[in-house]
Amino acid sequence: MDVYQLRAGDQTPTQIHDLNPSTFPPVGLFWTIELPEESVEVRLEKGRASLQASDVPVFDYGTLGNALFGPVPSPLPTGSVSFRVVWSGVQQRVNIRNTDPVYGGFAGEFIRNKAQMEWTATVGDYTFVSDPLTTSSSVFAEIGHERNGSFFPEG
Amino acid sequence: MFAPGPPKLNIDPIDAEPITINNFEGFVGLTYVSGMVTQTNTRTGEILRLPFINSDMRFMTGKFRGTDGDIHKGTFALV
Repeated sequence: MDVYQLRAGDQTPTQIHDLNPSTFPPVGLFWTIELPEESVEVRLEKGRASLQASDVPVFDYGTLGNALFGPVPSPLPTGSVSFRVVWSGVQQRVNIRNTDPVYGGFAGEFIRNKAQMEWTATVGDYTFVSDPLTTSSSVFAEIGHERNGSFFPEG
Repeated sequence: MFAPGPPKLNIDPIDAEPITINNFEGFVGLTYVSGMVTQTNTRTGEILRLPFINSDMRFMTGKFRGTDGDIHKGTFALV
């Protein structure tokens, strides 16, 4: 979760919270956690999917830069986040077979659509309650079925 | 790890890999989602209305080859 504040005199908002589940420096599964199978529902043919989880442990690095490169706030605020994300609609269907040496090595069938999210968190001295899911919006969203690595025959 | 998106976002190419796990086959979802959140300082009681902007949220659910060489089922989220 990336929370910003528009301070007096600033033209652009400044990030003040960066909540993610990885310790610093991020290694292994990057910002990625395992969840129970029932946390995700997918109806790809309908363009629908949902992701929800409760009480996921997170750290508050303050900014993306701190989370990636440091310095890490000391003490590093800890807490948990709960969220629900819903993907819906079909704006575009794309089949991708990407063999680019940097960005590729996978194939999949994707639907580009929209997504919305509601969330709550308690981290350090702060609690957060987002507005309802329907008030949020996405600048980019996609769902799909993908294969990479040893499941990508081209390799 | 990549952040695929349209050129206007000035991130990785839109056809870049969204999954953050290698040797994986399954469903994936990715979004950069924005909205408003109410922050309460539990020490001072101060309440602020703040935007959350382009929070990167993803899921992956399917099968993967583990470091043990075996294939496992798993469900994951990038938060």
